[in-house]
Amino acid sequence: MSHQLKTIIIGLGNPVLSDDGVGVQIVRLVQQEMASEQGYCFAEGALGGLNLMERLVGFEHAVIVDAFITGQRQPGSVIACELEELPDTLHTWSSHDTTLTVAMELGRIIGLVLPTSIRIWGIEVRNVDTFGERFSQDVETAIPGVVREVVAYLRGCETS
Amino acid sequence: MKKITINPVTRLEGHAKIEIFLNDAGEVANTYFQIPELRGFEQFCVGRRAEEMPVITNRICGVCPEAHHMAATKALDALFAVEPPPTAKKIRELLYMAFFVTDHTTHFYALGGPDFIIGPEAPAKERNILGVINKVGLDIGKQVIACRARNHHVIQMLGGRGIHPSAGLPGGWSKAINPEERLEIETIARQNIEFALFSLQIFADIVLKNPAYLELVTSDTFCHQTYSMGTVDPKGQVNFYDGMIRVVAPDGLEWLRYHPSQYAQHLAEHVEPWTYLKFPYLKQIGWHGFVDGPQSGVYTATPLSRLNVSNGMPTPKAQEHFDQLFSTFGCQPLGNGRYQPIHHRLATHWARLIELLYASERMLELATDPEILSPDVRAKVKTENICGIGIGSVEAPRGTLTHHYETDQQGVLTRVNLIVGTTNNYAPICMSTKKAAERLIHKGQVVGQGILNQIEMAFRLYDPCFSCSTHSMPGHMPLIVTIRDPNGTVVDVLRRDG
Repeated sequence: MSHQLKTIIIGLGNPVLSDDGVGVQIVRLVQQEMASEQGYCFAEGALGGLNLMERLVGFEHAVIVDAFITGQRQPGSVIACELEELPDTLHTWSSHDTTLTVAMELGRIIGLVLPTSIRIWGIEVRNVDTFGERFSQDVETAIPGVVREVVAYLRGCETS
Repeated sequence: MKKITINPVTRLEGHAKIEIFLNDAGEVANTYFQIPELRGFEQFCVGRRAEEMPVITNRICGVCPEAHHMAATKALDALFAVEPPPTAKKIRELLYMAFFVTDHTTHFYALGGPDFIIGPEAPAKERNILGVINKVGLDIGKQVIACRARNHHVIQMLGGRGIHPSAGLPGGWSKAINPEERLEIETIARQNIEFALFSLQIFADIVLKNPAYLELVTSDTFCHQTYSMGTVDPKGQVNFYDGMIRVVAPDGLEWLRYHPSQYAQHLAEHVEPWTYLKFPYLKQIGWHGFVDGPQSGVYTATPLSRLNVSNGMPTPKAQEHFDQLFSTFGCQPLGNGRYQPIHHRLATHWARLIELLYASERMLELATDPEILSPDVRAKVKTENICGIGIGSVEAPRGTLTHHYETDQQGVLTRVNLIVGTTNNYAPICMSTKKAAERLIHKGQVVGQGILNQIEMAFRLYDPCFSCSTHSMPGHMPLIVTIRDPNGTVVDVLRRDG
């Protein structure tokens, strides 16, 4: 499966808000790992809802990496799945507008070209309400594995 | 009443966590609306170079990075004692108008407006932008997304990046505008004006011509007689980018007018044991609890309050709607273009649309200003001029935003303080939430879903920004209302997950 030229990889989060920035850091590392491979679009930001949907316009495939809090998993746990496989309460959301699900539905209704597949990696995190540039130890430990999974997925030999 | 201890907000449960305490008669005694607060920002900033702040602070919030970027850049102007060239100020304001257009458009069509367009009693799952499309038509969805896209394009063109702008510098802006860009922005501004007028027409057709909705807007349900705050230009009219802070009393008399750098002389912050977030109030009047009236230092800083303090709108079409708004509420003119304030908080939605029109018209003014093409966009910064303190302020969509930095002589930060838009309105949000609860809880009986709808409408009108929850999964903000008897025992828990 080749996603070259048609895939956007987005790290969501705030890079100066401790574990909140884990998705951003992972995508930066994936970009470094694939520096010699042309055609992928890498992006980052504190996006949600309509903003996130709009960022996906024009791509056939999308990869989203984000912090994840269920409170029921150990920090550092990783969830990887397609957007539609997530339970209803696990969609990326913006306090200012709407859910990604509603935003995607809106985009499709009005005829925007949106990805046919959205692969999500969520990393359960611990500390997202204190400013800082260091991750919790268990979150830090999870990063290399997720980077490998995302790179492998993008290179078409999915291991997750 | 039993002493109340509420655990600190957690991220999972903290968003819009509301505790309602009943008295012995089963009536509402108190409500507590908890907003999560990010911690450690000052410690994170101290020791860094001040010029990093426009880029750091625009990461605070995924909703309004442009506002933080602009307030931070203006604080650096003051810190470095440098006056930006006129063109730099105009480019900043031009970007800021594009931001206001996207922000207010999004709020009306995706968040606040559905309560009216779909109806306040409609199921929550229908009160979103898809419901608006079902009611108004598919074309409105296309228009909303097109409006956002063209203005995000302007923000990227002027600000260097589409999401977190980076062009603000002490003493100016990092890039000038070329004639092709100017022409494109002019075209976009004209489209924005048409869209804003269209949006006001929708509001008129669906809300103002519907007696039930008009009654809701003009009813006492969400009416609070507080002070109003906003930034005004030298003519006393609305300005989002720069000016003096004006505060008017509930009866409309001007209470204060001060330069943003003097905010600490006029504002103080009250602390409550049940929330980390502080409650700003007018220092000279004092904190007297969550009450309104001229004896209470509680104030609001919202689209409605900005219009309340203003001598009018600086642009012609917005001025027409400004007059219509105040005449609809029967407000008497106070002279110089100002009216008695409106205290019916649901009118904030209307005020927001008038601001959308003003931002569009102002965008066109700036885009057609001959000076906008000048290449002179940055004044020279001299480190020997660092004055040790820099305070910058703008009107963010959700209220007056103030950045305050202090540094050593090398420009290294020693102190940082921010008052953000939502924080200004924290006390009024709590008051509106309580009023909604009081309407629907009597003798211990709770109207289940109705109270969730009313409380949602109460805080949505302020468009509070839960900055840390803009992206992180799990996605939906759980709205949790816990109702307790005088002993603190839970009577009922109402919950809506998104």
